[in-house]
Formats: sequence, structure tokens, C-alpha cells
Amino acid sequence: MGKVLYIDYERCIGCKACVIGCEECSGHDHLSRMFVDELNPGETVATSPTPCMHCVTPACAESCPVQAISIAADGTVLSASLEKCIGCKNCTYACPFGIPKVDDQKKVMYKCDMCYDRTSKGRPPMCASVCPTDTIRFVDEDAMKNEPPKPVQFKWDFGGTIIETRTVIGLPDTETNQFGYREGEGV
Amino acid sequence: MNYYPYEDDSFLFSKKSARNVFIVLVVLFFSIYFGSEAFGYFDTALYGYLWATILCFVLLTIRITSWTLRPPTRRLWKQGIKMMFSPKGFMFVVKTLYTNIVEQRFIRKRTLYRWAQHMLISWGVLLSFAITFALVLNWLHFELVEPKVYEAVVFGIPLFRMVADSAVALAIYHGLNWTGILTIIGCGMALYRRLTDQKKIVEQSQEYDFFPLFLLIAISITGSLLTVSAIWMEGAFYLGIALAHQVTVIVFLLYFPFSKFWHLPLRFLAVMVPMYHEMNEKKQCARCGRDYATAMQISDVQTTLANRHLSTPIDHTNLHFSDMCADCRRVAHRLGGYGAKIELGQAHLIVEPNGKNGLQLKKGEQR
Amino acid sequence: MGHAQNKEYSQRDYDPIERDGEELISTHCCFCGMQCGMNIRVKKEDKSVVGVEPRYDFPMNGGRLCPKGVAAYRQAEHQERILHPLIRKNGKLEKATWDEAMDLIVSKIQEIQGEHGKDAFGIYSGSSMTNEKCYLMGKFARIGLGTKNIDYNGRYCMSSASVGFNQSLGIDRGGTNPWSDIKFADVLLLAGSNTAECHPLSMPYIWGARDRGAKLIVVDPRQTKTALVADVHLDLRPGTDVALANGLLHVMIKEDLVDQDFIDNHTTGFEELKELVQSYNPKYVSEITGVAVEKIITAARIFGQAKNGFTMFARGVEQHATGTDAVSSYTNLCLVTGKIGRKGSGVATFTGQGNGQGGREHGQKTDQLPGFRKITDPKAREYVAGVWGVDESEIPGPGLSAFEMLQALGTEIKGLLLVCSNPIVSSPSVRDVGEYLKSLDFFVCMDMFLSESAELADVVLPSTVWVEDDGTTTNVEGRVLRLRGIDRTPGESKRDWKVICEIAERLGRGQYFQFNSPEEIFNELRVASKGGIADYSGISYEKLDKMQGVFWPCPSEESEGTPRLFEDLKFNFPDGKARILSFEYKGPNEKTSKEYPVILTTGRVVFHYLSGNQTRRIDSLRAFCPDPYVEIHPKLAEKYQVSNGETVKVTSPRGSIELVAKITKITREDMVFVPYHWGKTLAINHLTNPALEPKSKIPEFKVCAVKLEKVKQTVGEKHG
Repeated sequence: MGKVLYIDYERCIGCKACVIGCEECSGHDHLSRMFVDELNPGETVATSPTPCMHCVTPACAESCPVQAISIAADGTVLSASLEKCIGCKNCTYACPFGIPKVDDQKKVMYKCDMCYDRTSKGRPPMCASVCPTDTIRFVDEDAMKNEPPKPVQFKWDFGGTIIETRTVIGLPDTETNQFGYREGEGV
Repeated sequence: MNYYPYEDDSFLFSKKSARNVFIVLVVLFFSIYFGSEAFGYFDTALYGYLWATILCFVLLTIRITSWTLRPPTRRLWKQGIKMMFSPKGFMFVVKTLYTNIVEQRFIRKRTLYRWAQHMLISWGVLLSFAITFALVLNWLHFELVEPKVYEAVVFGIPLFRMVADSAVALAIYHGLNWTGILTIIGCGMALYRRLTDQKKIVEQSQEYDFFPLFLLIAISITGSLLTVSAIWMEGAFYLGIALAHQVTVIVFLLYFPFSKFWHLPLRFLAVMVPMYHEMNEKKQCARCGRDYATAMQISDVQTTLANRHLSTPIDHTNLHFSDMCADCRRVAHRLGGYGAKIELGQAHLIVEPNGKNGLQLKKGEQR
Repeated sequence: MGHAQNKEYSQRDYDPIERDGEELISTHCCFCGMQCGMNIRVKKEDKSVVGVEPRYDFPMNGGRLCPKGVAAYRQAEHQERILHPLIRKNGKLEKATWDEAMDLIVSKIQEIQGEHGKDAFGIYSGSSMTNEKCYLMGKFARIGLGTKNIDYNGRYCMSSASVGFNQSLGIDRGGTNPWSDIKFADVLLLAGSNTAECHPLSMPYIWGARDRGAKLIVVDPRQTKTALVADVHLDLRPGTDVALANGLLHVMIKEDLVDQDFIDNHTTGFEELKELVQSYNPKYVSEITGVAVEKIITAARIFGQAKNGFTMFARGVEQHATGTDAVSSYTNLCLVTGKIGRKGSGVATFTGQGNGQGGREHGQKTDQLPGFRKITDPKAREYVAGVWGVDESEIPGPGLSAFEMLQALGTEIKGLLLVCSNPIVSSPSVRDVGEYLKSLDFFVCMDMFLSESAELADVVLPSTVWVEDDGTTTNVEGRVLRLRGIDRTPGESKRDWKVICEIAERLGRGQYFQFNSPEEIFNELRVASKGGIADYSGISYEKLDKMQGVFWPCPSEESEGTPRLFEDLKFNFPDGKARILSFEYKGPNEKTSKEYPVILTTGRVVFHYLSGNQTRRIDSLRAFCPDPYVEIHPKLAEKYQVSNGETVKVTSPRGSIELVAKITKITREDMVFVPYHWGKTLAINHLTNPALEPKSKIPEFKVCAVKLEKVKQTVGEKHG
């Protein structure tokens, strides 16, 4: 039904267009909510972008002592409300995916809201709009989860805790190609 | 408004609320009793306000009870209060009270305009609260002790005297007018910013943002009109204005615990935060070894998540994802996606994907 | 209509978001040759540039942008823009009026040309300008100034590909095919191109092919982000491309993976090639290139067996003393297997500069007149003289090429006009270039920022940023595109074409430069290019708007352009046959020695563009990559006892700089890599070799011999 973000990270070139693109969204106050991480610097140039995974049961919201993090009707997990957030950083530690950021000076938490001003008008979020390699795509949730083009992750089992995420991660093809991964010391 | 009772045991909430409400009512009763010198000075004109205030206190108590029952909130309160009783903690709290609430430095860091607007509204409202509650609950009243000389009496104790048309008296008598003016300017600034800065911020909605502003303006204007009517209009429309004012204030008092104003109590919890971050032993990321949090907060978060059945452990280890810094959490997931081994250098462990998108201790590794 | 309807392109079905009080200027990026479409957000109230909005419907990129594209607009309101003319007074550049500046320029031009002859005043221009400006620069040099000495920075960039294509195919259009064809290849051979970082927007096409099952072969000394996802990564030693290409041809010929029909009917020279590559057996090639024998054989088989395929290359192949040989050798791969002239098959070079293609077509190259005509061709001279309304004899002959021109500064050339270029960062051996520029009698520079080169000028003229002017560019595919600008010129800045027309006016040549808009210039360009190889005569602004760009040649009003070349398998030679040219491997001009044992190769990073004059000033891009570094393999680092983050002094026979070491396994053990976007003490071009390719005159940026020394330093100290 809804559309979600799909990350096919073997295509990532680490250009961070998504990171600056994120600043261009009108609700984002020029604060980027996107991450691009080097996966194994020194061994390989492989990188991956990470937007919010938009959990169905978000640990960030559950860990918030002031109930500042709410979930929009479509399931998008929003940034903490500006007046409630007390900058305690519980959410940044609770999130198993490492997403929320807190600005220490302004005492505000900010995170990916899938560019609400764009998605609410049916346009893809900025990261998916600009991503030059189609690493980040804005796709139909059901189609991607039910008939994925390759192995994907959206249900995560952490010691019996099942967390379902709206964002879907496409796994690299390690069968025929070791894209981006090189076994070596200090993996 | 995401207000919902939290605990699995719904009776716990009811029991605690009932107890807290009872305590608050008793305290209120005695404060009124002593304030009014055993009901000797009772301003019956403020009768409506009194009941609304009492109801407001009751609702607020229930709301706070519900809020503090949530595991993360309770955890932070407890830790905060414990730390506050050390001398260092106390100093911390005093300092933070000043920077956060008096000076509101964090808002100045957002933007200067926003800060000015918020200082005006918050101080306007807080001082109005102080004056209103003091008068309505009869904690404070003025006695005519000599012709043209008033004495301010707080909880039955005479505090000071002033000449009726002195500057001090003018300042005090019209206290609510001055705070009202602060509020009106602040709300005006806020309205202007909302109308010109048409950013669509998803965390905020129109009714959630605009209604409180209009309410504050309505209260301030009707309140000021009372003075205008009394001084310059020989009391014309006084009754109507008084009624309007009373209605807006009562709406405000009942709306307070469930609205945007709810962030006011939250701010007192915020005072604990710098102390909570500073006064504890640092915690190193299990993978990269970088200081990224305090050990106390990580353990608090893990306890909280466990309470909510949302623990995120790394299978067959004592570690949780929160034992890694945010960067390493993201990288660990991606390396896991490649089927790679992930060395947690600081924790001297090697982990691997658990086949279900989580991580586990690498088979054959020592636990 | 037209090519925009081609579904194989990347366009997406979304409209851009328009915000209140703003308008969208639909234009193209100012950076690389992909020329991605984008919308610039402009505040209606004061015409200030406030942001970028994806242009989902543009076929080439469908709204996608690399970080440079996203941040490009941030130049427009940049506080470091030059907003008034500057004149050097008592050694310092000081604010001046346009009149003062123009008077000085004109008097100096007249003085120098009067004293030393017309050719003593040169023009060094750039290829990041619109077609209109490039055309105007060529015309201004020839009949405004009357000098033969005009050349441009594309000499450092595209010239080997140009010569190589001309000698093999008889025409130089960067891509023989539209980019949408890439998706239909069964094999892609990318040589000397870090496509992922330098032309990121080509990646959706490459993945498009991969999704259909295509194999990817990447030839690159480093395991770049492109090589990382390759099926075969031929990690050759820098400068050994000709040997590798010959080796691949050897295997394909030996295993009969060639298309004999195509060779017989549409090419000449195969027998010579066959004989030449006989000795290039995989073992021998492996010794030269350092690539494993099996990889060479595998790659040759994959390429040879595939039905359709592309050979694509970039500066890694071209910026060598044997660059044109390498271009033709790689082109041979497609010619012997008949992979050309149809969907999914062709040859392409990744154009580096924004208008690298258009900039080399219309006469700002010293040996060339508009429409890709040779300046030495009497018929071409006569035709262009007719268009310009001058006598044929008034058009000078060919002058000096870019680097030769810089070398002649102070001697043969006394005065220089520098437009849209920063040679003191981008040239090889830049310390010498600084000396050359300082020896000029008069040096005037037009730029929007005070570049390292502009800092040395006697007069600096403030020009506009790209989004403040109209015009056209020609992208990597040979597609002519329309750029739209905002109607504003901040401060006292002026559009460069206006300034050129004004100088011409003051020089008394105004009658040839009566232009009121870029469109008027373009319309003259159309006539001037008519009948030439790059024929633009059928392209109008209106057609460009309607068709989202038109591929040249477009010789008539009715023509919709030529997206794919050689569909009839007729190549641009009198006999219609492509030339298979065979070249022996000669190796780089500078070999490693005992004193300089390590190979240095240079290149780009995704966050910066060319000399960095624009991108280094944009905070967000600078933050991602603030300083250059030297990539060293752990084994090489061990030899010098260097660890990650330590400072290393890299020295070549021409100079040395200090850089932070980045220890990484992605590079070869016998080489180091340094990105070149920085100036002054951070410029790796202090070290590079100015040896020129004999035909294309491109300097050998990609290989020189260096030595490394670890620099002892106190903790926290950084290089200056």
C-alpha cells in the first residue's frame, strides 16, 4: 500500500549526495538526518547509506522519558517534538540501528521523517530523489516485502525480540560476487 | 496527544493517581486554610477560578502520575533525584535551572527570534500563574492598614506595606497587566513566525500550535480590558468582560495538562539531564572503544527496553546493540549483511550474523 | 517527443515541488559532462537562489544528482564571489570601476600587439562554458584580437580522446550512442574511469545493464567504487593500457572471438593489428601490466563472447604520453568484435568538463574552427570567413596548444586573457606555471571567484555564475542541451560574453560582435557549424526545449538529430571504413628509477570538481573532503614505516608536497594515488610530468616517478 525506502547498499558509492540532499527538504532546517558509513576503511571502499528504518515498534519512542517521539498515521516515526525533547539522548542509545541524532547545544533530537513535506505530496524523499546510483529507492512496501528482487531484510530478530521495519535493506550479492566485501585482517 | 496509561497493571495507575490526588487535595486545602487565615479573607469573586484551579491541579496530578509511571521517565527521575542530593549534583541542578529555565539558553541556540518570543511568553505565563494562583488560592491578600496604605499578607504573615498610589503599588496591582502584555507580544511574535515561515514541520499541527496562542492572547486581552474598563470606561461592560476572562482562564486551566503547555512540567525533568550526562562513568563502545555515553544511562536504557519487551541483545553474549556507538551499530548491520565477521575490539569478541538479521557470537568463539 | 520519450532513460514520473514565493529555473548542472538536469529554486521577491529541486522528468538523470550537483547552487549566493572589477595597484588587487578596467585592458592589448605582434596576446579559455561562449572566444581571438594563440583547458582533458576517435572513427563525439543504450550491453569494459566517483549518474545505466545480466570489466590500478562491483577487475600498472588492450586483442584473435565479417566489410588495418598483437601473449602482458594472466584471459573471453558491449574510457587512459594510442587501441576492441553502431554496442569517453564536448567543437581549440573544422583546411577557412564577414586571410593559422602556450608566456606571448580556467592548479609542474604567469607583461582574468590563478592577475573581471546566464552545452552523449538562467547579475558582475563583445567594441572590431543575447550567438554558431562534422544548423533553442536536448549532427530544420552514430556502419572516412590502428606499447614518459621508485597517479574524488575553485568553497563539499591525501598500500607503507594519518613527503624530479597518508588495500603496491583538486602547497601538480602526447598535446598527468619520505611531526600538527 504505502511507499517505503529501499536500500540496495552494494550500489552505494559513498558520495553522500543523500546527506546533503537531506538538508534541502523544507522541514529539515538544513540539518541532515542521513548517514553514509565506510564499512571497512583501509580494506575496501564499500560504504552504505542509512536512513531511519521506521520500526513498527520504535525503541526510540519507547525509551523517550517525555513521549516526544510520535508516529504519523502512515507509520513514519517522527523527530522528537521541539518543545518536549529534553535532549537526554535515550533514543540515540535505544535505537538498534543507530539513527537518532541530538544537537547538544539546541537540545533537539532529529531524525529521518522520510521528508514528510515531500511524501505527503506523493514525491520521493530527497535522498531517494537525488541518489545517483539508485542505491536508495522509494518503492511500494508490499511489493518489495512480498516479492523482493533479491534477499532483503525488514524483520530483525534480536535475541527473540522481533522488530519489523518499514525501510527495507537489500543484501549484497555475495554468492556470485563479493561486492564490496573483502575478507582480511581486522574485519 | 499521545496520552495513555502505561503499566500493564491498570490498577497500579488508578491506585497511584488516587493516592497522589488525595495528597494534592489535602495540601491544597491546608494551604488555602492558612493562606486565608482560616477562611477569614476569602475572595468570593474568585470562586469560579478557585474550582477550576483545583480541578487543574487534580488533572495535572493524574497526568504526571501517568507520565512518571512510564519506565524511562521513572528511571530518569529516580536517578536524577538520587544524584541531586550530592553537593555536586545540587550545584549542577541549580546551574541548569538557571541556564535552562531562567535564561533558556538552549532556545537562544536555536534562533534569537525564537528565544525572545519564548522568553516573553514563558515569563508572561509563569508570572501570571504565580499571581493568579496566589490570589485565587488566597495565599496572598492585601489589607488596608492605614488610609491609603496597604499591607501584603502571605499565608497570614504581613510582608510589607505600600502607599496606595505609589510606584510599587502600581507595579504590583497591575502585575497581571504587565505579564499579559509580555504574553501578547510573545504570542504576536510566534504567530508572525508561523505565518511567514511556512515550513511544513510534521511534528507540529495547526490546532496543536495555533489554539494555545489564541487562548493566551484571549486571556491576556480580556484581562487587560478589565483594567481598561475599570479605569478609563467607568466600569462599562465590566461584567461581560469579567465573564469572558473567567471562561478563557478556566478553559486554559483545564486544557493545560493535555496540551502544548504540558511541556512546562517536562522542562523540570530536563534540568536533570546535564547532571545525568556529566556525573557518571563514561562508557566505551564495544567495537571501536570510543566514549559515547555513560554506563548508567546505557544500563537504564537497557532496563527500560527490557520492561517494554524491546531488548536488542547480541545472541549468546552479554552485549546489547546499545553497547556499541551509533556508528558501529549501523556498520555492524551492513557487515552482517555481507555475511562478514565483525570484530568487537573493545569487548574482545567476534560476532557474526545470526541468520535472522541480528547478530550472534561467532560459533566456536569463547563467550 | 523525440528522445525524451526513450523509456530506457532514467526519467521518473514525478513533478517537482514548487514552494510558495519561489520559482523553479529548470537548467543543468554546472559541473561534469553528464550535464544532469536540475531545478534551481529562486525566490521571486529578490531573485535569490535558495535551493535545488529534482528535475524528475529530465531523461539523462531523472532528478538524481551527485553531491556536487546538490550543492552547486550554493555558489550563487557565496560570500566569496567577486562583485566588482579588481586592478592590481602597488602589488595588490584593488576595487576598480569597469571603465578603468576596460581602458587598461584595451590599452594593454594595443600596446602589446603593437610592440610584439598580434600573436603576442593569447587567450587561455575553458570548457565549462556554454557553447555560445566557447564559440565567441574562438571568434574573438581570431578576428577580435587577430591572434593565433588561443587554446583551452580541454587540452588537459579531452584531447586524446578527440584525436583517438578522429583517427579511428573519423569523428569525435564522446559517445557514439545515447546513454540509454548502455542498458542493453552484455558486457561493459570501463577503462581508466572511476565512473562511480567521476560520473556518478552513469551508474544507473551500468546497473541497468547488470540487472539484465551484463558483465562488468573494470580496468583501473585502484579498486575504486566502480572496480569494487566489477566481475573482472584488471588492476593494471598505471600507463600500461596499450599493452593491456593489445593483450585482450591477442586473446580474442587467438580464440577466434572476432567478427570477421564486420572486420572485412567495415574496417581496414586488421592484418597489421593481428601481426602486432601476436607477441602480446597474456604472460608477456601480465609482466608489463601486473595483471594476473587468468584475469586477462577471462576478460578477453567475456568481452569477445558477448553479443553487445561497450568500451568506455576516461582520463586514466587518455592523460598519457601515449594517450591517443591507448584510445585507438581500446576502440579496436569494439571494432574487431563489431560492437558498434547499434543499441547496446559502442565506444564512449566520459567527458570530464561540463561542456567538454561542445567546448572542443566550435573553435576555441587552437587548430580548429567552428563545426569541428580544421583551421588549416582552406575550404573551412573560406566558409567560416564568409560567416564572420571577413576576408579569409584575416583568420590566423594554428597557434600553440594549452601547455605550450603557458610555456611561451613571457617570451612569445606577453599578454594573456584567462577565462573560466585555473591553470595554476590544473597544469602539470605548476611551480613553473606560476613563474610563466608572473613573467607576463599583462594578465587579465575573468572569474566569479578569486582562483589561485586570478590571484596573480593584473586585472580580474567579475563574471556571473552559471545559473545567471542562458545558453547551451553539449553533454557526454553529444546531446545539445539548453541551460536557463536567472535574470540577474549580482553586484557589478557581468556575463562573460557581454564583456568580450565590449572589449571587441573598444578595439574597434565591434561590427563582428553585435550580440544581444546568447541565442543570437547560438544562431550564428549554427550557421558557422553548418556542413561541418559537428553540424548544429538544425538545432534551435525552441527545438532544444521541445525535445529535452538534440544530438548532433542535426543538419536541417526537419532533422531530430542523431542519437546513435554509425547505424549504417559508415564511418567518417572517404571509404566509409573504420581504421583499426595498431600501436606498440611504449610505456610512460617517465619510468621509475632507483631514486624515484614509486609510481604516482592522480585523479578525482566525488566531492570536488577539477581545480576545486568552486567546490572547495562550498562548505558541505569541503567538509566531506577538506584536504588531499596520499593513498598507500599497507605493504608499501610498511617499507617507509608510515601509518595511517601520518604525514608523508612525496617528491618527484619537479617538486614535492607533504600529504596525510591514507593506508588502504585498494591501491597497488607499486604506486600511490593523490587527488588533484587543491592549489598552492597542496597541489599534487607540483609533481606531475609535463611530457606531452605528441598528437593531442595532453600532458602525462597519470604517471610520474616519485619517492616517499615519512615526515616527523608533532601530534596534531597539520600541513599548511
